[in-house]
Amino acid sequence: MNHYSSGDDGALKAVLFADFFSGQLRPPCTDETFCEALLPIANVCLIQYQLEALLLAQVKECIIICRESVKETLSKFVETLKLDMNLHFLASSQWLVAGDAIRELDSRGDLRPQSDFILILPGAFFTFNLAEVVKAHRTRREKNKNWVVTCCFGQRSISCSCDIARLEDGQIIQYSSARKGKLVVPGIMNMTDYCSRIEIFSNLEDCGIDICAPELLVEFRENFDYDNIRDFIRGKTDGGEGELLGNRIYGHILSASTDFACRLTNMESYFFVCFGFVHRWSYPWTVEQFPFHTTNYEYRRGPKYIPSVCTLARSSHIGRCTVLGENTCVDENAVVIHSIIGDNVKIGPNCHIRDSIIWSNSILKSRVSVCQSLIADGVVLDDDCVVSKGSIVGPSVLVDSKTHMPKNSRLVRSNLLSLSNEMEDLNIDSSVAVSREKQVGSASSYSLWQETLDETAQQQDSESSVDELEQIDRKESEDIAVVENREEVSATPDSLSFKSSSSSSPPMERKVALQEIKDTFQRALEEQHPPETAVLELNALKLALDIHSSLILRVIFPLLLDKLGVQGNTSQVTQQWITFFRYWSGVLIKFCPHSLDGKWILKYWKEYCERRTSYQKYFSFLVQLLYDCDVLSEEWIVEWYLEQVKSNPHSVWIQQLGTFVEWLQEAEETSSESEA
Amino acid sequence: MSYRSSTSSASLLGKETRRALSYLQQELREEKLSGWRVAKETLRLLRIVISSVSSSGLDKVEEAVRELGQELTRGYPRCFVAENMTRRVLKVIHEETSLDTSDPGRQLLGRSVKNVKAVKSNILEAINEIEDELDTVLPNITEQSLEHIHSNEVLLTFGYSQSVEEFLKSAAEKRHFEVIIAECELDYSGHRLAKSLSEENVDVTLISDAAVVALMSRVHKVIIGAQAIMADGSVLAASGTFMMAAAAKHYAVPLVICAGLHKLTPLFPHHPDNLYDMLSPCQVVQNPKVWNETWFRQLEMSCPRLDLIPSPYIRLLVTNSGGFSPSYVYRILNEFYDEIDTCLKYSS
Repeated sequence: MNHYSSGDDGALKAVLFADFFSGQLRPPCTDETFCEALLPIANVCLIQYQLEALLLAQVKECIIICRESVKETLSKFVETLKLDMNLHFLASSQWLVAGDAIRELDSRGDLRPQSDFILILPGAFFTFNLAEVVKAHRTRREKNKNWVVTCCFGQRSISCSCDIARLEDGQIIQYSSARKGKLVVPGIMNMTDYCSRIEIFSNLEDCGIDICAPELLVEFRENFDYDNIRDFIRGKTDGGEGELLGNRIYGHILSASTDFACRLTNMESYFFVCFGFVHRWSYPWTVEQFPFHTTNYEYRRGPKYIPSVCTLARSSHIGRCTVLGENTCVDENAVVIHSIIGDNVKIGPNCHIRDSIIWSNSILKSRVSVCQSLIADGVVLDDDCVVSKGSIVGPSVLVDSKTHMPKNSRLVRSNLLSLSNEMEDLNIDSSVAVSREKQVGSASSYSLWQETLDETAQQQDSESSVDELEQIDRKESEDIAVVENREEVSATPDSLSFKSSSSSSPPMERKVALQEIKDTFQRALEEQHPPETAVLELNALKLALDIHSSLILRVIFPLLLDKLGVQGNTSQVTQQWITFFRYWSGVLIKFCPHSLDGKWILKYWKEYCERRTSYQKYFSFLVQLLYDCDVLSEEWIVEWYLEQVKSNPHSVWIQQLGTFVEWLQEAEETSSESEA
Repeated sequence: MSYRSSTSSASLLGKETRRALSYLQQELREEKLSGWRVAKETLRLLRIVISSVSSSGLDKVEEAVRELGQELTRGYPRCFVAENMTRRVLKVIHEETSLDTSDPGRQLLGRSVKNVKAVKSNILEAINEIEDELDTVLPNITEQSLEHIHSNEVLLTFGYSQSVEEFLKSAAEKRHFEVIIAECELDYSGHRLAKSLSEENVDVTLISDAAVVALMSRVHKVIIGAQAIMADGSVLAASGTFMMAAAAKHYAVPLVICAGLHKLTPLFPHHPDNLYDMLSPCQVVQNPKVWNETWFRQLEMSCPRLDLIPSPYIRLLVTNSGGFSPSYVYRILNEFYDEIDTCLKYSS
């Protein structure tokens, strides 16, 4: 193993993800050479803000991670910034998830950070000074090496999707994100095991900024199922491994008033951040004061930001919350309200633009109406076009005159469609697929971007009752998960009336998840997989489905019990059980980290025996067996026993278990005596 | 901004100077320095620039100082004091160089070089004089306190200002009076003033900004500090002071501004929006939970850092060269600044 020094020797490094590794922001980002870090926020690319903020935090060296295809564009762009910072690129076309990139980083001796570093997840937009957070992280690390990660959480949230629970000293013990309707923190019962005083925060914004120790990279090298850093946190907090390895994660809650940090994950948050920036929430960084602008903006009440070089017709109206780009031309009687217009955009006479973002070099001819939409670079909208709410027009699309785009439609150039199909083959993105191409108007230069969301599938989805779900095989359940994703995607461009449209209810999801775990483990049992493989499979499922480990236990333990037979004489049965449980104990240990889970096992086993009388005589035997296999600890057994004694002192189970518990207690005494 | 190397290749500022400049800008941004400190720091920076550039000719010196001044204008929050100091030094340079050109022997190379040295030392001397003057700003203001504050008066002030603090303290040594302090809700700096004054045994009442109008009828005099004195005698002061000035005018209470002349700016407040920052609306709306309400995004919130008090509202400006009325400001302007330096971007 490599040796990592962790002092603050050397300059502060940052690792910045320029790529999203997801399709959340597709259509506008369909081009191979365009990546999400180049998204303009008030006409300045996201990566500029990120790098500038890192400079503010005294970062001397930055590693930018991106796909091979966008590396050239990015590096050219970054060169023009002339930053006082060493920039390195780490690119590959092989990575599927962020975790792969982190593992690659670990294997690169020249780039791997040797001391604590800042990790910026894709889409993080922040304007506060990280130096303080880094300093606090380092002081914590000096006191205790186990504080490996500091995560920042914002209180001004866009998605309100993140809930955490933390101890008094700031250690995160529960982390949940991307919840759909259900409130907080799974397994809240377990938390009382840790400490009596817990802070629970809900509706936080996970702003994607982490200060990490180099040990984190080792962790990623050893766990191939970690897709990204959030999996790591979840793995640490849920699995109970955090306690075992002593690694602790600090949750830093940003100030609600002064620190501005958000994360761009979809169109909704993109619009949100853009207009938050225009509304000056990110002060001291504002449109007219952001240092990278070559354009000289003039602030006017409203707020309106008018560049020094632009042509505004006398009869044009520039409304509130508007940013105009350099060399923008607004013709007679045109109205622009609550919109961000990029550089070199020509807005023809009588156009009406509202609540929209238009990137650079587009041309809007006369009488065009755009509402709550995103128009990418180099688009030409001919006379009398109407772009309705929630639409996205991809780069370099030419739209014919008098085209009426329906709500939530997306236009991209046809040749890009095939290109994104290729990307589909490479498995870069699985949540967005292009199924059919539909031509709009007469020109063949563009097509509608369609998700594979058939109406029939939707119907099926809504009709399938919970009972039917039992029979849904694994493949179909996968399908549902994918459809869900797509719905989310299609809902995102709706910028201002953000409705969450996750139609599938949480219990159904849970059912699907349970079914999947069940199938996986059943297969493992039947095909006699080695337990290590089974653990890996289940772990991957756990992370993918975002469920708690105790839930997995509740699925696999009954399956294990069902495998036990009671045919033959007692010694045969016991021998059989011993070999069986010796074999599978690893899996149980892995998913039974807390005392509550242990007690659940005992309770379930008791009820199981109550139902099947033939098993009764083996009750205490199995408990002993599980104890021998280290699945159950002696405290759990004793505790459970005492609880049972209180509630029903004369039950059969108590009598059976009595001798064993007595033995346990005696053994404990003798061991403590011998120690003394 | 600061840490980015200049885009113009013809930059006259050396690497060292840039570093010093970025350091100053960073300090300006992160902590609130008093105007006096900023002036001092700027002069220090100017001295470095002049001594490093002077070897390459006098016209270069002027250009370099201008460039520095421009860089300082770009810093934020906009700091008029730093610009003013640059303008004063520019005026000194103009004077010295015009003396120099009148010298007939300038054409000779040898003498020119010698002259450059002499001019340089003259300029540096003049900078030293400005610095000495800065040191006497506060004592000069405070010694006038007894002329303006009388026994048993009730004074009203707003937020924290160093000159007002010293002004009141020096008067408190001789006279007994009562001070009402509006807390200045933007940064609650009034609390700081209240604490320091009460330690000097002054009668202090701390009120909220909203109570200013109600109490105005009881007040004899309003004394506040300023961020900048504009060319027409109007004043930029903390946000909320205009309301106070309007109330004072209504009740015919005299409004006295305490400020050193390093805050005198040769700019006119034609476009107030350009003169001061608009802060983040989070100063107004503190609850983060409303942030993701749809209606909330339609709101327009303005939170200006400074207020402009037009000259008709001001009775007296108390400066280090004595008290005078706002209409007199234009006279002093000519004493301090050269007309062509008003816009620092101008280059001959």
